[in-house]
Amino acid sequence: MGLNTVYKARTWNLSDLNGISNRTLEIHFKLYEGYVTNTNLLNEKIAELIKDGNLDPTKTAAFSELKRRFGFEYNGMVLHEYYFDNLTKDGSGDPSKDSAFYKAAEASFGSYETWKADFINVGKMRGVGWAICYQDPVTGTLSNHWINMHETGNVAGYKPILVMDVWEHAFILDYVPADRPKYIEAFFSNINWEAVNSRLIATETAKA
Amino acid sequence: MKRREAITSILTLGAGALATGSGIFKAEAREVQTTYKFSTYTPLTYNFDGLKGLDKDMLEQHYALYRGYVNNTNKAQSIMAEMLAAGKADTTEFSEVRRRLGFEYAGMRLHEYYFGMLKPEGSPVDEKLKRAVSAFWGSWENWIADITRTAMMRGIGWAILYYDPVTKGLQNFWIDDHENGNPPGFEPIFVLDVWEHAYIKQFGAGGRRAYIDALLKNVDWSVIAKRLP
Repeated sequence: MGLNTVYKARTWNLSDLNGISNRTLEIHFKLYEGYVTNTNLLNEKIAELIKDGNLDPTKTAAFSELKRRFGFEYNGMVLHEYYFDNLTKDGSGDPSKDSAFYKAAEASFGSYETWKADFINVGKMRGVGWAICYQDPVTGTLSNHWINMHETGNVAGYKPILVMDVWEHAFILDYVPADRPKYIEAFFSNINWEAVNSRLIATETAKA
Repeated sequence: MKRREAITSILTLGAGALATGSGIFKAEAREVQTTYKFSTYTPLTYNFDGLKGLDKDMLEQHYALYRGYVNNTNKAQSIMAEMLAAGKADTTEFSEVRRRLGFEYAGMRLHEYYFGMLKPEGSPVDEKLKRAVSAFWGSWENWIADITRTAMMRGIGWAILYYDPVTKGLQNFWIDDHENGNPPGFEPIFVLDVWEHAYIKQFGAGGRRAYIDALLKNVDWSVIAKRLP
């Protein structure tokens, strides 16, 4: 998106989730809004620096460090949107066996259970970041990835299919830090599989 | 209790286990000594009850997290020692344990500096420290403002006042995670944790500033002054 783009914070009709308190959701939405605000702010500041069609050599450092921060703020904004989009208060736990996701997980991992064990263990990894199930747009294959912070580890061009926030803010009000696995369990019970399924893209390999 | 003790293990290897190594590990080597320093928890010298304006449960959870870093530092080191002894050091698994050591080790050590500088209701500002920071920031208040500004940066990590032994200078640094941005050879003087676990439970997601203000009232500045060379 260009420098003149102004992002608007989205809202979600999410409350009364299983094992994720309304207070956590409330602060989480606020934090998300912070990423939107700061993405817009970076764009504004960069636009100002570059408005004459060239960069004042004395502003190179300022330009560079603002640009360097794009990865953090943009990913912080976008990943939260995927996260809230793949939650629902009417979660069913695991996806149905005839769903596109279930089949894709089977095709990529041998079984849905293996995919799930892999994803959960990514979510338990030490440090702050995200567990993301990505789909390779060429082969249709799923793979689970650890993302440090927001910006380190995202695979270029891959499609985020299931996105789980494991920053401390996502669970620390509801669980002691050592109980992250309980939050992950709660997260699973609130997954909006319909939304997840709709993110999958059909490829020749995936259809086969 | 001794803070650290060396753990030494003598492990017998089969011939050729480390055959691909340099001169240190020869194909005919049958024994290799793997030593690492075992880290133990640094106990608190004060009671969390006494810290003013800071939630005891949150501090206890934080200290439990610190113990996790000690455990995981030791775990990483023992895995590496075992793999080295078993001739499995040239593997991806070994590399990735080593890659992670910086996170665990720095996570352990920074928390020790952090908990080590706290004291119920703090102490008066040390004069030597005041002079040292004033030489760089113009005044004590300016340094407080700058370290606070550093600590308010977006993202999670640490704000640290570092002493540069080469220029004998002082500078405030931002550290991402635990391991990204620590300048080599510099001495950590004032070490402020701004991971979410340090404040969010009591002060909320937007409460970092209130946390910093509360924490600054519980700093033993004489400990900080002693860290200055």
